[in-house]
Amino acid sequence: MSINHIMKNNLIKDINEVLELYPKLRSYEEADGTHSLIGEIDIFDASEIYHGSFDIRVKSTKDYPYSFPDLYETKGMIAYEEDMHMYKDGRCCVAIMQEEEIRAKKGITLKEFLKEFTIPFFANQLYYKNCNSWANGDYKHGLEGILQYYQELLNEVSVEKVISELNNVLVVNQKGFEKCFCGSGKKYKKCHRNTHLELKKLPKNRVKLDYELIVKFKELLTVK
Amino acid sequence: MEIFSNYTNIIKKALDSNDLLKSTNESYGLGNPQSRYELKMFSAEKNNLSLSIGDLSSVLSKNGVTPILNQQIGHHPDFRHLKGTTNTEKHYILSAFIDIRKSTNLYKRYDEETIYMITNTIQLAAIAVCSAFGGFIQRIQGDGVFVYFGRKGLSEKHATEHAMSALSLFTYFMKTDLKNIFVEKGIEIIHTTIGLDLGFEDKVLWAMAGINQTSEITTYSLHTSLASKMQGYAKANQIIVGQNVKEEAANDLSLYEVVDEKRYIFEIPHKNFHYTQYVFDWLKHLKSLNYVVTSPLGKLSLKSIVPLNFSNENISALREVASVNKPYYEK
Repeated sequence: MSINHIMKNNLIKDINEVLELYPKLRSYEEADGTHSLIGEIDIFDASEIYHGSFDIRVKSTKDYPYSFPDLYETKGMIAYEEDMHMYKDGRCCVAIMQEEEIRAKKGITLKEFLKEFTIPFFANQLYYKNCNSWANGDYKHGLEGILQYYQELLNEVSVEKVISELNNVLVVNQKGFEKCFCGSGKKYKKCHRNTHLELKKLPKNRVKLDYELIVKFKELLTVK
Repeated sequence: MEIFSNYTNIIKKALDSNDLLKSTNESYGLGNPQSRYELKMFSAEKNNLSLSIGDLSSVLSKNGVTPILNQQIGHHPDFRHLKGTTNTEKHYILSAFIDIRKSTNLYKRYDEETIYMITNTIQLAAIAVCSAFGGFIQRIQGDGVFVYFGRKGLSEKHATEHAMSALSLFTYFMKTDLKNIFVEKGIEIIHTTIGLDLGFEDKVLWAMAGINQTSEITTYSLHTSLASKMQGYAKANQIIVGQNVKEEAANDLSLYEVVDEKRYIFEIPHKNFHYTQYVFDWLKHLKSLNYVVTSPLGKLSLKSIVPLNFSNENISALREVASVNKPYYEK
């Protein structure tokens, strides 16, 4: 049995489990051979209280389960605006690309996508509607959001230090017993290693690209 | 389900207060009659018993349901003109037979009055939900109910959908709400069996049966007879439907499974006519309805109108789910 055939079987099994769990969803095969789930999803809070429903479309990708599915809201229940983290075509920006890539690298089924990303995203939209704020904050738009992601991950406010750490991950292959590059005097394994292990979950190309973007961003800030 | 809460409360009261095993220890019957749920209390409550209609009323109006008000058993309002005549008329109808089955073991724990109150309340719940979905109560048969769905001016498809919704909601009430109460009491549960079939216009004759005051307006149809027969094949809390119902509803085929015991409920071999009966997956059907919501733990309720302002407690519980998400926007 070919790998493609196994993947296809896994996808069908995944879809059947989703349809069992979310009976208001239906699946269909797209012209490009990927599969979509469409229908309604109900949002409950942690105490099993119903808060609302959304019409959605979840589109799997060709390299299922190793890339992140797309999620659309199809009824216009949320304004398709940047501030609502919605694209003009109804696509939902459920997470930052870096988080998506880390999760997809492990393999993400449609069932997992609905539980881990879809339901929390819409619960957050309902939370925003009630409280006018996001339950766990949100990322700034565009490049600033990418910088924010690394600042939070590395627990560093300083842009210079973020750049230095990314550079360290990309260029320097520091050993655990060596003194940490940050100048704390501690061994690397007792200082920045765990954070860097998190960073290493990202594809190296992604870190390299983000590093370059953040360097340019800093240059722009300096010019300003 | 919340809409049945008035019925559930009565049954709970009867079970809690009138348990013969419990009262032996408390010398009930002679010493402690105050705590007993008496027939006269039931009578008073029964007259005002109704579904908690709040969320249901919008469901009904959105789905084009018009309940038949002021029903008189055996006198369907659309065919009342046949009364006192030998005239006949052909018109489609869905016939549903609902039977309430109880274990004889119930008599070890409860007296006849209590068992009457419980089964009567269940029967009233069936009548209420069927009536709410436009059903007409044709006959009460002991612990059973015979209901028609269908009206002049209402399509067969809509009437079929209404019948399926009503019977599915009722069976959910039996299978979950009541089951939980009975299991809590450690007694064998009461269950229902249902048969439903659709006869199209050319196969259903309406006419008056009997004479003068000893009469009713009824259907002469193979499919009314088959619905009753199908009910006999239903196991605990199952709904068996005829082939016509399946074809008219034209919904998800996975909702139907052929009855193993007897696939063809009726056959005319020389005409190559074989009529199939199916077990209807009413739970899956309910979950797929746009006015029903299923909680993560699998509890079903009618989709309620979401309040504009939630309590702080609700918001905190929503935050718990929402805080997993941190949205972004890529420019």
